[in-house]
Amino acid sequence: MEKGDQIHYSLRKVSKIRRKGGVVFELNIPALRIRRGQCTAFVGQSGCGKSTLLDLLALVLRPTEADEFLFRIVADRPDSARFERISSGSAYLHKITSLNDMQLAHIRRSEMGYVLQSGGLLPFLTVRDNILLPCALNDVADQRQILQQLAARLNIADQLTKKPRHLSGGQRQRAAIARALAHRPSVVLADEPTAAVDRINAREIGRIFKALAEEMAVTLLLASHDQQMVSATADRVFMFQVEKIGPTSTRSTLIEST
Amino acid sequence: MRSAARPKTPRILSSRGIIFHLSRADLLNEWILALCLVMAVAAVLSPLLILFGLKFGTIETLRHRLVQDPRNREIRPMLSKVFDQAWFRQIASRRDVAFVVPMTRQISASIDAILEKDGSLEKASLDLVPTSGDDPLVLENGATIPEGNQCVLTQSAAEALGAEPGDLLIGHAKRVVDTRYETGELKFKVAGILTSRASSMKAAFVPLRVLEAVERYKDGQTVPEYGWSGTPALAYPVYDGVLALLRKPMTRVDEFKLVSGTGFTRIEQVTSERFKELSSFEAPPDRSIYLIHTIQKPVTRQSLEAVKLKLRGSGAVLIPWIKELQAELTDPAGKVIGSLTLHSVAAAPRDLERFPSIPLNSWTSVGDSSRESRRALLPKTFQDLPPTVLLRMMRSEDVLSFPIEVIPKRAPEARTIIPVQLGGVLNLFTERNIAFDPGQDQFVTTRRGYAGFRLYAATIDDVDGLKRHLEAAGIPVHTEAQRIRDVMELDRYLTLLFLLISAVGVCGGIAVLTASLYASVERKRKELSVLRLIGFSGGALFRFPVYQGLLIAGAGFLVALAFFFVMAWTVNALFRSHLQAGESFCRLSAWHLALSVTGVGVLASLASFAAAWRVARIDPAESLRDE
Repeated sequence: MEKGDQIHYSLRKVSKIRRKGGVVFELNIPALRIRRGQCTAFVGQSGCGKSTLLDLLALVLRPTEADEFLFRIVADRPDSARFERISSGSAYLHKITSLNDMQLAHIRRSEMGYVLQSGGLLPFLTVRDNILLPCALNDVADQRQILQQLAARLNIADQLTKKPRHLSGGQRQRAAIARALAHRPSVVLADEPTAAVDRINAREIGRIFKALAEEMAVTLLLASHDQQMVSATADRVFMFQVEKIGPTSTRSTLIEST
Repeated sequence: MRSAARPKTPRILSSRGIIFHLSRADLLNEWILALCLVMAVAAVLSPLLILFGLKFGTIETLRHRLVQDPRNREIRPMLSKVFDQAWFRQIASRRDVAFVVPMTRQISASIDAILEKDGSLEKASLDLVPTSGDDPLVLENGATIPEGNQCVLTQSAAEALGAEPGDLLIGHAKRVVDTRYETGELKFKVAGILTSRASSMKAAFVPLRVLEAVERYKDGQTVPEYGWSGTPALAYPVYDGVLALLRKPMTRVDEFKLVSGTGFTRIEQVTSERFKELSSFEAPPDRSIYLIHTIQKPVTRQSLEAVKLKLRGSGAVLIPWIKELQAELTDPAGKVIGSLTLHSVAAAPRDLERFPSIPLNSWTSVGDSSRESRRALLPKTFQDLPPTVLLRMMRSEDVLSFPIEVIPKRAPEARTIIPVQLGGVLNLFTERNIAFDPGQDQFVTTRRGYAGFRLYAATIDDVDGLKRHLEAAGIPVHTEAQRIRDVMELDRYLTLLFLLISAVGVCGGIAVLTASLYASVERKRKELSVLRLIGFSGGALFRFPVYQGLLIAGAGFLVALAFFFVMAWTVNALFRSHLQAGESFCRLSAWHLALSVTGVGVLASLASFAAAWRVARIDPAESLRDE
């Protein structure tokens, strides 16, 4: 099977209900299948459920209900085998709802990379240590090589010994991308990765990010409010249909934009 | 890139110790805040360390001085009493006694010392103190035990005389004979000088026999070793009673008058048979016979003279009487040939051959224990003896052995007959020590015992037990037990005080650390949730504030330790004049340091638990929201 044909995420009839300050918000995902190596974008205004969806896909939120929530473990790490033993169903796709917090943390650590809106770099570590942190957590061996390649591609090679606060917004996002990719995850989740960067720079960063993701066969999940921005990079774009269903209740349904 | 081979190159960051690395990096990043916390911890710890160091140093110095200073192990008798050799042997054999040496009477232990040096002459009155073997006061105060004509001076004695080791000291022992002063000269070589703590007295430590010689000299006796003349200390005869043959019986009043003031305590009329049995003489007819005697202590010649004086002109015949004595006949090697019962007969030594029919001759005077009185008429059981044999008497552990001439004739009875002059001297042995001096060919008195002692317990803890033992034996003693108890008590109170103060300080320290660490993780929720997101477990992040707490407390402890060492050095330097070598008023043992490191670690961990608990509960999703 071609890598591109592999299903990375498979969600069916997944919903998450969140209550906050007497307001009920419901996110519905009728069906979502993400292939490995694809770049998928989720576009919507704030409050539409983007972040909740990303939380679900990042495995930090558990769905309220799910007919199916499968995730493929790709990384060829020795200890990924143990999930195959405990997971039910497919030998490759894992039923996320049946895993415990420890197992989810383990998957997050080895399979996922994150690019947060303002980078999410740790202020007390140098750029270098920030990038290598996921490598260290996963005991990746050839750290120096990875660091050099990523830094060169992202044009931050001369920023490695600095603390994040001495970097510009664009440089911080580049460093965040490097950190997200450093331990060679199978999926990278990016929440408004270029929102805080000027357009020209944002386009440049988006281009490099896409290219790197493709080279490394990483499934890229982008959340953005800017449709114009993501349509250039994403293979598929999803949107949210938001409807008021009561005075304090909102329902948002994920639909694919065509 | 995914399928790239993974060569075993060294990792820049490793999962091992990554939390420690992160917590340290975070502290270094906010180093000013961290430094403030370190100083806060040091501010709590340094006074505690210094306080405890002072307490420990002071108490240890006091205790060390108590334990180390032999004076605190000394047990001094509070009264002067005769302690005999047996007593010294018994006390010296005790486990809890480190050292004991007899001491002569205090009054006879002082001499005038003169040191002539560089043309100047220094004089001082010195107390002689006996020492020997392993006297801790001498050995533990920087000197060796003097031998022969050596002496060890106390600091004050040396200062008074300007003496240094190697100097020759001339000592003068003084005595009054009749109305004039006599001086006996001694020469000492100064072998050492004691440190000042040993004694504040002007004293010279010398072998015991020097003191014995001085005491004998002061008692008016001759001391041949030092060439001092005087009266020889001859053994004198003592009697148990006297038999009086009177022409007519006495009234009760006369009897009483006769006895009173003579030293005798009893008088009783006896029959002729009893007289014969006691004296071996035939009683002349028509005589009233009285036995005047004592119950316990034998009397000297003065008592006999007193009775004789009271009976003068009455034509009374007085015959001294001595109880039978037990002795052993030995060969020159000391092997026992047989036991003897000695019966003293009030006859001239050369009349002994005529026994048992010696004519009753009146007792005139008993001479000394000269050679001719040492004769014996042995029972028939002893045959083939050389002309001179050895007789041995024993009293508990004391032995008296002397040669005696064997009269070729044998006694008709089982008793050994000896002249009363000899019997009297041997009778003295029942109450005090005498010895046969072959040089003078005489019996001489030897020491009864000693007026006192110098006694040191083996350890400071033995002092109390020894004190009780001696006091139970009727010897009131003085010890430094109270000083020891005082220090122990002071230690207890200071420890309590320290614990109270440190409890307050430690509570404050924990509060500061707890609040700071909690505030710190609360401030860094966002960063910490990123860590959770990228896969750090809650349990791993739990360690983040714990490590920070330990690092801060550890650094604070090091700073406090530096303060402590500076302070300890200052305190010890300020009080140097009060300290002896190796002592310090402010110090901590390695054990205390280990304990405080552990304590600080435990408390820092405790202080960080609230923050750790908070960190472990940070939701990884937090980082994805609230942008």
